[in-house]
Amino acid sequence: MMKKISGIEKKERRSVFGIVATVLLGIYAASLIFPLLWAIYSSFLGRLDFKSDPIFGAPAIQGFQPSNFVQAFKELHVTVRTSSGGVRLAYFFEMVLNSVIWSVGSSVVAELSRCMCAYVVAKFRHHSWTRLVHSLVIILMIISFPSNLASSINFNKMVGMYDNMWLRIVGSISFTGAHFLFFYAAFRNLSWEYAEAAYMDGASNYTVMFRIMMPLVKTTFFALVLLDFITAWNDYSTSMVFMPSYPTVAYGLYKMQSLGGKFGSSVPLRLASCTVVILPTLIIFIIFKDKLMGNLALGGLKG
Amino acid sequence: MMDEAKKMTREKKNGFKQQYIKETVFILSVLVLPIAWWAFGFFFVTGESIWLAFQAYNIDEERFVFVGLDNFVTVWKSISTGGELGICLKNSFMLWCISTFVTLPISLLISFALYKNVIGTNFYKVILFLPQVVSSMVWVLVFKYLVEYGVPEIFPNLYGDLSETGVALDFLQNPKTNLATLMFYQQWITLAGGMIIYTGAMSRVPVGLVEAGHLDGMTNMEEFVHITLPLIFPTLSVTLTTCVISIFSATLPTYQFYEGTSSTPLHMWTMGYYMFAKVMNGTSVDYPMVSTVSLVVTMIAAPITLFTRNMLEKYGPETEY
Amino acid sequence: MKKKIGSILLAGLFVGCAFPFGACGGGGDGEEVDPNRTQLYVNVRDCGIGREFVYALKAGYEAKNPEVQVIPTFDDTLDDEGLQSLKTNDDVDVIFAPNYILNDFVSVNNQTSEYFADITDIVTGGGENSIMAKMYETEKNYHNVGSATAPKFFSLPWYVSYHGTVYDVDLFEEENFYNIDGYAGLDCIADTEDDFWGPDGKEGTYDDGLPATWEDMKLLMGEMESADVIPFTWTSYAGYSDSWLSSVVASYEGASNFSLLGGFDGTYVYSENTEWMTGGTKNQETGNMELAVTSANGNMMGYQNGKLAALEVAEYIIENKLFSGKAIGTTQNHYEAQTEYLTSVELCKEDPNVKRIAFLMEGNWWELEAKETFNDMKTFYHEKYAYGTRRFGYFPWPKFIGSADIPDQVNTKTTLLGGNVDNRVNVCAVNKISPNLEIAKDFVKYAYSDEGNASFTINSGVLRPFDYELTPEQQNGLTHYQKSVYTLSREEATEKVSGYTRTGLMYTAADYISGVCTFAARTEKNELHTNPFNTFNTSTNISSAESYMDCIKRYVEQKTNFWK
Repeated sequence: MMKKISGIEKKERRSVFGIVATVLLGIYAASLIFPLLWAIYSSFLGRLDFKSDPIFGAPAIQGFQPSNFVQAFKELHVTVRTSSGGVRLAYFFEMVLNSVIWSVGSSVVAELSRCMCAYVVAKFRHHSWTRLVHSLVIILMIISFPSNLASSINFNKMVGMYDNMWLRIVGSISFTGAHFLFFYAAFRNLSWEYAEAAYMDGASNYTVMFRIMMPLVKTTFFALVLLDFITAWNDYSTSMVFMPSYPTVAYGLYKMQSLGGKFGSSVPLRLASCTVVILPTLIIFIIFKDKLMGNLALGGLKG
Repeated sequence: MMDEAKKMTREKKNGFKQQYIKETVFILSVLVLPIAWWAFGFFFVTGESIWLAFQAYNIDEERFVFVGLDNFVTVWKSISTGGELGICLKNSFMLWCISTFVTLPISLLISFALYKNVIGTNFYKVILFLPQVVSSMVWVLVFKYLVEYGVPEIFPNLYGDLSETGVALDFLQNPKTNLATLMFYQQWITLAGGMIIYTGAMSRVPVGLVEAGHLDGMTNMEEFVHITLPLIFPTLSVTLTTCVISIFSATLPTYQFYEGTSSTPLHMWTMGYYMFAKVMNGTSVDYPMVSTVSLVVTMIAAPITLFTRNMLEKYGPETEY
Repeated sequence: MKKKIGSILLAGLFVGCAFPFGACGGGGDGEEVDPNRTQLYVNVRDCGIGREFVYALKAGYEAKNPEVQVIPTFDDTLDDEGLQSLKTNDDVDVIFAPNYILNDFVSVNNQTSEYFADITDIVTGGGENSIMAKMYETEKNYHNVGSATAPKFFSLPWYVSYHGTVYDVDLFEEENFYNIDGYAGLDCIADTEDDFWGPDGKEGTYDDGLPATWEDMKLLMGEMESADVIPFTWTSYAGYSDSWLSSVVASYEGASNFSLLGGFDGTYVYSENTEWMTGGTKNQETGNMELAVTSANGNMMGYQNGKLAALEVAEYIIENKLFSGKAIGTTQNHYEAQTEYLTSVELCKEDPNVKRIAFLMEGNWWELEAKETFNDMKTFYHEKYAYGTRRFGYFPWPKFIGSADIPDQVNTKTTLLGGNVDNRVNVCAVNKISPNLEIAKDFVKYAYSDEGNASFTINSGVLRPFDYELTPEQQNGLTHYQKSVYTLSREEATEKVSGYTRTGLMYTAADYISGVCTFAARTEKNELHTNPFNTFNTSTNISSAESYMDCIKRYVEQKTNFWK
């Protein structure tokens, strides 16, 4: 259903601000689209044509090479150990599935726990040590000690998370990072009246948190989950270091490009493989963009 | 009468106490697990490295030995004499200024325009989100090719003027321009980065308030300054705080642009990059220096950040809606 | 409607994820465990030399030991830092890893390792034919943590990579770039018999017809210019230009002087004092200057005369525009440089702005990396461009004799620089807690036998730092370029130079060392420069090799004061 545009909005669209903003946004958007068009065009070229003229050069030598995508699709694979000790190849779809499970699971668990922590810290500020937690979060964001890779692996082995995607998802619980602060801000923004009304009706702390308060920050929640999701989707190192039996597409892409040979040495092939990998994220975003990006219809707190 | 009053006070007190205990249990039930989990991992994985700041590797004994504050003196010397760390500090500060005073306001205005539903908003939402979805490898590649092959096609003499020999030396390799070029790139790609968060916050601004304002003849910019900014201030204050935090952790995408730490011109390093490069390229002997820098940075940044937070909370506009 | 399309797309995506496990998964390179054999896991960290060699070693070893199943794995984490996980990781038996620092894993004082198994018995066993007997001296010095009489080994070198200059043999023949008029040879006098004997000064050897001195080289590059050929291209990746310039330094200095860059223990022999290199005493017998080098004055090695020579070369190339402009862009990574070099032969026919290129600054593994470009050129241009058909050669760098601005070099040998000054090497080792320790050691013994070494070279195109010979048939399996490196490395007049050392200083003050051993330089205004090519090409305060040397000296001295 088309969204109804109010009279005020129509007026705003024609205002000086509306026109200037549209033009400037248009220029910025163009500066993003043009390079991507170049990337997509170039991903259809052969390496010799690309070398001969990299900026929208004609495919004079090799002709267009849609086979780049077929190759990217076929050769995006990594070697993994089987449970019996043998080795096998994991292909694109398996990696996509791993990526989806890992990215959705870890980001939902992480943001859910952050959201809960932020809620208690924001709403029970009269308990002085919740403020301490808030300070701790900030300080932890500053500290960046070198963590030894081997001790990280050992830690993961000790707690059984090594090479166990499901446990790692559970282990994603967290209260740190900028996202905590966003939840904190969102809860500080909310009026406590809703909660008080519920308390009057005899609701427990948990009911108020889960049923009343958390749904009120769902836009923030989904937005942050999405950001986490993208980070997890593009992160190859977790899969490489901690879950070698669950290769993700990002790891496959990394492996393919770092291997050199066909993919490392051809810009068009690298671009084609990147396109194949970003498609799932892009589709998900386009589907959910209205849910994820705040607009006037969302939020549930109008006037 | 008096007794009844006392009884009521006592009951009230008991009630508060009970409620306090109930709340404490609730808070603990939510916080304990994540905090304990973090503490466990943190001390297991990085606990040792804090201690490393006071140690150095002794080759004769083949182990780390206690050296007191030697590492801190080294760091101070490097900063005060304009050595590596001095350069890093300067660049980090510059990066912070640009992202706070240039990029952040533009980013807010973009979000405001989208929130105001200007023509093509739906289209822009998708396009402006692309920098976050598309792998940075693609953007870096695209940018490099456009700078090195695209720009000379449009302005054939541009690079010639910059180079004494007349052979193309582009913005990315010319030491006079490469820092600025990379800063431009980073701002360009992150311009709409806060879009999701900000539009999310703006969407909760009460419509009635805005409509009332417009009936009084308020312009869009007035709405932005007087209604939107104050009402999204809690969200904005998070960004401002994290901006301060990132003074020392932010890096330019030099690693991707120059394919490795050894190719990154030294004058483009930031504090964050220093630590990254030392861990990437150094031996475990370099860890004490990284730990020291990290401690120094924490000691400088923590008070500034907490001060910033407190100031923002104290003097920022009060909003509850 | 939009929602519906979205849901369909999303459902399609998930269904797509779920079904093709059977369709695409399995098969290929996969290998199941054979319950009747013992499994040996050999992990290879992927790098430029490919995977073929490990499958070849597997086939060779399994043929001899049918009770063993060698399973190659490619875990990227088993590199450098990640190797420390070996303490608790018995999933892998043998590792091949690049960028390894011995001191991180082996206690040199105690001659023990918590990570790697002691493999002294297989390295020293076999007398004259032992692995140790065939290993090059520099490698032995690095890997042997014991003494010459009581050796102790925990690791072996994986392969050696020779950095240097590649030249297009086909182009040299077509354009007749051999024996240029005016060549004077090593005696610097034209029209004498040695004019065309090349830098080794001997007739009838590999380098006949190539320029013997830097002055002859200038004539050759001039000839190239008039034939519309660009002499050089390279990648902007600093590691490569550093290594190439170091190969020029190594050629100037020779193995003994060059090793002082990181070793700081020996005598630096040079021909005459310069503004930067002073303090030596004249040896009346040889007429050369000699300077005792220790860690106390080791910083002087940061500006030894070879660096001046290399900088003069860089300045000359840039000043006279003897290079492709793409070489100094960030888009020209090593693959792109290879492609530019290879395709210039055809692109110069189509585009008047493109010229053919004679030299590429690269390492000896480059052809394998560029294999796909060879393949494409064969498919889309001509059969003659196929991998192994097109002829390239290793270009022995001319000597610096009789040049006005550069003191004559003392070294008379042709050098192959196998590894820049660094404390990191490519390594092969056995996991200390391997459940099949003896089999693992036996596999390594096979991998480093003459048969194993030959199999390695044929399948990877690169050499191992050991004395071993390839049969003529095996040599025919190499490309023209690989064969040229092999031939040169087996000639008596060739000296193999390696920069890496295991000295304590190298390990504890890597940052200081990198100041001494690279081309990092600091101007008076505190600007830092690392890539001489880029520096000379820009309007900066450093416009000549001499002023660059001043800045190197300033940088090295600041580093020395700072880190000591």
